[in-house]
Amino acid sequence: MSETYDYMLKFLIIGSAGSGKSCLLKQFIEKKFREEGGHTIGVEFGSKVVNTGGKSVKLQIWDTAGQERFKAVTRSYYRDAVGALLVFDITNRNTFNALQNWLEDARTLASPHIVILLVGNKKDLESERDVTFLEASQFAQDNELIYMETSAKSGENVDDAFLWCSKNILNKIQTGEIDPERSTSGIQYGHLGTRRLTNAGQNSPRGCALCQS
Amino acid sequence: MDDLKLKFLDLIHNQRNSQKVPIIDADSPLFLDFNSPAKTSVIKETKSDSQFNKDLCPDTDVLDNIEEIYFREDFSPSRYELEKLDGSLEMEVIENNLHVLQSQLAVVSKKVLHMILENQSLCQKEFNKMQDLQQLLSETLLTCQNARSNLGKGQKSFTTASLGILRNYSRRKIVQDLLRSLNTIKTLLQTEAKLVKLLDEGSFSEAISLLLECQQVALNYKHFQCVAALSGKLQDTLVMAEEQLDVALAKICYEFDSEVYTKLQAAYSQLGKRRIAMDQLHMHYTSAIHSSAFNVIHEFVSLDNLQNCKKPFAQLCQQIGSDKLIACLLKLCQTFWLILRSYNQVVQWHNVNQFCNNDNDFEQNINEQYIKQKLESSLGKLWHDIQSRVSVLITNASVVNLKFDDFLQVLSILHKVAQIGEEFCGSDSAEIQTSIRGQSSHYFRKYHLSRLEELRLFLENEAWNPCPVKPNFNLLHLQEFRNLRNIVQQASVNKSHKRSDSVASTVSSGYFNRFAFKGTPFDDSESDPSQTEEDILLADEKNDGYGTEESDDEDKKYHNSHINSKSRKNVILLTNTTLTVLRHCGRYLQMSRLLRSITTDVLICLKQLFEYYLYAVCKFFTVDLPTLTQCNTLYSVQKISAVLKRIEDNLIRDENSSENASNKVMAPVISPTVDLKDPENLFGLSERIVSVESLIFLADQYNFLRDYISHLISDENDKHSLELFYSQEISLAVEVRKPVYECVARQIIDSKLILNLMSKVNWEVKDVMCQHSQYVDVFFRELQIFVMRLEKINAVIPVSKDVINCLWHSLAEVMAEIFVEGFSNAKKCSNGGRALMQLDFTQLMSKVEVLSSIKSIPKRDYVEAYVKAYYLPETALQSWIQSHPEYSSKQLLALVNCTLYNNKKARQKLVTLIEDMDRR
Ligand SMILES: Nc1nc2c(ncn2[C@@H]2O[C@H](COP(=O)(O)OP(=O)(O)O)[C@@H](O)[C@H]2O)c(=O)[nH]1
Ligand SMILES: [Mg+2]
Repeated sequence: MSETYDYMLKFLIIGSAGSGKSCLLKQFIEKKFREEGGHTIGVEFGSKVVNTGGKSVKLQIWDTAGQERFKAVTRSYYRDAVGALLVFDITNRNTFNALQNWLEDARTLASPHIVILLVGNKKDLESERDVTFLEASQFAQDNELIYMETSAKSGENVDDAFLWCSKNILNKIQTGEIDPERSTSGIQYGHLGTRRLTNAGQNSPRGCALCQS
Repeated sequence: MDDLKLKFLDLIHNQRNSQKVPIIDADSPLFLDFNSPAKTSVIKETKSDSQFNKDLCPDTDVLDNIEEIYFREDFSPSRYELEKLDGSLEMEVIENNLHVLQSQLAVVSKKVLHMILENQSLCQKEFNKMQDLQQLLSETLLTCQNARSNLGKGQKSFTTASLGILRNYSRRKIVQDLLRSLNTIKTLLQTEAKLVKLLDEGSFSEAISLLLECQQVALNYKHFQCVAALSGKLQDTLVMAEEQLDVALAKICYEFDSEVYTKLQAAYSQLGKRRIAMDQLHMHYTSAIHSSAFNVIHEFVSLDNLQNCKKPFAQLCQQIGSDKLIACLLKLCQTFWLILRSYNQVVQWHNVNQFCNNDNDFEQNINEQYIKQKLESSLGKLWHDIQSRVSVLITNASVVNLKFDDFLQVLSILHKVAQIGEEFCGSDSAEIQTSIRGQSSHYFRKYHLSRLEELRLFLENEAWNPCPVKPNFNLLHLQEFRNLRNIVQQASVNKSHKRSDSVASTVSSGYFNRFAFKGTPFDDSESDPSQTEEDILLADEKNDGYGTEESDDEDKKYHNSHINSKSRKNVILLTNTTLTVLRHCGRYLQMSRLLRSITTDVLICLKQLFEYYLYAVCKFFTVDLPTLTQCNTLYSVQKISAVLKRIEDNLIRDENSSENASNKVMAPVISPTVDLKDPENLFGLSERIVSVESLIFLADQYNFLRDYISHLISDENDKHSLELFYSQEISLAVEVRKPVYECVARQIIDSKLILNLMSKVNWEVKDVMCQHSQYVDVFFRELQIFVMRLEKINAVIPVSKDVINCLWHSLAEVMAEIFVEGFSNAKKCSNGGRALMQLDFTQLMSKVEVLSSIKSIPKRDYVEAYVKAYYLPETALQSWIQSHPEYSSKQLLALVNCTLYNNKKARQKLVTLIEDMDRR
């Protein structure tokens, strides 16, 4: 694996089921859109190296299942996440109404410095819009988020959403707001920088009884 | 008479002088009458001649002596004689001369006279004749003049007019002919336009026959100059028509139109060029493949760079980026498909339309045979052309950088291409297979390593919460197995099924039937090739839950079914990471299905996925297993250790070692959110259960796949290693329960506390007690707390009977050990004390039986035998000690000390024995 990058950032995609989280991830990574595809079970994973602000950044993205019953499974992946796309479906008010809950989860479980972008997805379905841009912007403003509308189908704004997040995190690192040395495993140095596994301290004693024969 | 005449002539020639007799100056009328002097001389001579013959010579002599010169025409005798005198005027001589001359004159005169007389009548006669002739001539002249004047009259009054009529008539005839010819020529000219129209309409056959007819007509009129030009033009049109035919033929390559083709064949048949047409058609196919390949590539390579237009195909392919490769490959295949389909239809057309069934037509039969052979022999060639274009694209484009799904898609496209090749001409498409084989293996290994790396991430984030799935969940429900469902099920249902699934060998697809009219097999770029068939087969299955989860209603349904389900046997425990492993399995198998040649790699990688999970579970959840307990010597635990060691050697990168471990992964680190130390939650029992049970579930799924996998491999080594994998590693999953749950069991009971309480018990009681000791209640209390906590866990995650059993087994072992240890701590012991020990133990056991609802608690013997050994006689004790090495020396020594506390000698002997045993 000759992949080189400056930082590795842990990202989350959260939001109600059906809002298009998996599609956003697929669009971002593979530039593809799949109409059918079933709900996500548990958590899926994708990674991509992007360039922003002169740095190459590897995004480690966890796509979570939106259904309630997976909460217990998905929550463990929130830990140390430094970036999140909070997604709802602009054609479905229920997904918008659920945002507060998702936001709370993210704020309590993820890194305290997490950069969250509110994403109104399915922009292509303008005619079926159920949540106005203004409403969503208001929600974002109230919760100190940035709002952006995307379409996983057409790909519009998808890259921008991820890039915007990455850039913000890098800014925070540069301004010293986040210290990658001290922060948790949500940010790791890549092969380019002085690689140091920040979670090394948390390593449990190596080996186990069975492995010591 | 003639003779005579000749003689005369001779004479005259010889003696001309005779004619110019000295009569010259004579004025005789005779001379006037006869214009010609010759005549005169002739007459004269004839006369003289006859005179000579008759009489005397002297005249002849005289005549002969006349000087030659006298016979000359412009001769002046006087002058001549005078000159002859020459001044010498001798009389005598002159006299003499005169005499001679006078005699001569006399003779001549005589002679002339004689001759005139002699010829007088003859002359008269001749003259008469001449007059007669003159008469006749004038008569003839008159007749002629008459005839002429008559003719003139006739001409004037009759011949001129009627001949004019005749001439005009015949001219009219000629002009009429000409007009007809001109009309024909005009038609010919107009036909030209019609021909073009016919050709444009595609009525080739009519056009050709018309053209041929025209040519024939033109041949008849070739004496007209303009027709010569016209037939030149017709020839041009014919050439043009053939060109148009050719163009139409070329179009056939891209889209076969039976109607057009029938017309074309008819046209070529008329031209007598069916064989040539066939050759041409094949050339068109070859060039169609060539040029459409280029066109497709050009579409995907930027042509800004003019250089690109000229580059060879392979170099162009190198410029196809991995993002465009699939689109390009699909487009290429679609294009080729149209060509193949057209060819296939041409072949079919010829199968149906045998041009003549007439055996007599030798030439037609030969043609037919030729065409058949040509069509058949070109199948392979055509396929070769197509195949090589595709493999050039694959080898030159950057396949290695593709995303996995894309890579799979490339494989499946190529797989389909190969199937089409098989259907088209029975080709095994070796070229395509080789082009992809090398890259695949490389690609796959690289892919696998990043999957392991990713798996590590999953494991390190794993909270070991159960991932909620339906009770009947199995790996076939995953998207990644969508295309494998049927085959896997078939394989596991029907074991004896002999390698028949092998996708590569199923040629049932019949692409040429299914896509005969519209579309290509490469149209739906998103869907997998074989999927179409399978989707149909799965149509009714779709509704009953293969599509995994739906909506929030499902959420409730799930919860209800989950809570209500008392029958916990069926409940599945698995983690998000387990799912991830299974998804990877699905991807790997998809890949191997499309590419048999990397089966060995796939097999190894499938093994490693399981091994890594097994390793993580053991590593995470047996950290707190005391190393030196007896259970570690158990066979199963040793086995696990051996396997883990092997995994660690092969798969786990050692951070401290500098060895090049590019094909290894780091050991995973358990997520810090998992707490294995809190007694409240039974030392992470819930997480441990989820981990071990998910491992077992994973093993189950691997077992489910076993038939399918073994079905994929043909290599004996692979088969063997698969056997080993299942017998040594998959089967190990269940055994992992033991050490993991034992960790919990060991921590549940506070052995120090119990042992402490036990040490305070008085074992030297006199009487047999009927009340058990107090520590038993404490002991039991601990167990009750455990059961309560377990109940709590059970409310969250299903804890199966197997798990509970295993837990109690471990607990029983721990209890037994505590009991034996506690009993062995008694320095002294009475019979009553020994009985109390038995009572305590039995009491606890009977309570535990109720609590755990386990019938026969294991390790009871272990405790009871130790207690009862106290009653053994000295001699029996020795052999008992020797046959029970499972007790520690300390415990055995304590037993000996208690039993033989008043028999020092015997005691010493046994102590030595135990110390010896210990040393060994
Ligand atoms: N029209 C449209 N449909 C979308 C878009 N994103 C997702 N979808 C559809 O929404 C459904 C749910 O998408 P999915 O990614 O599975 O949602 P998730 O549960 O949040 O992961 C799918 O049927 C998608 O095809 C979008 O941007 N436009
Ligand atoms: Mg999803």
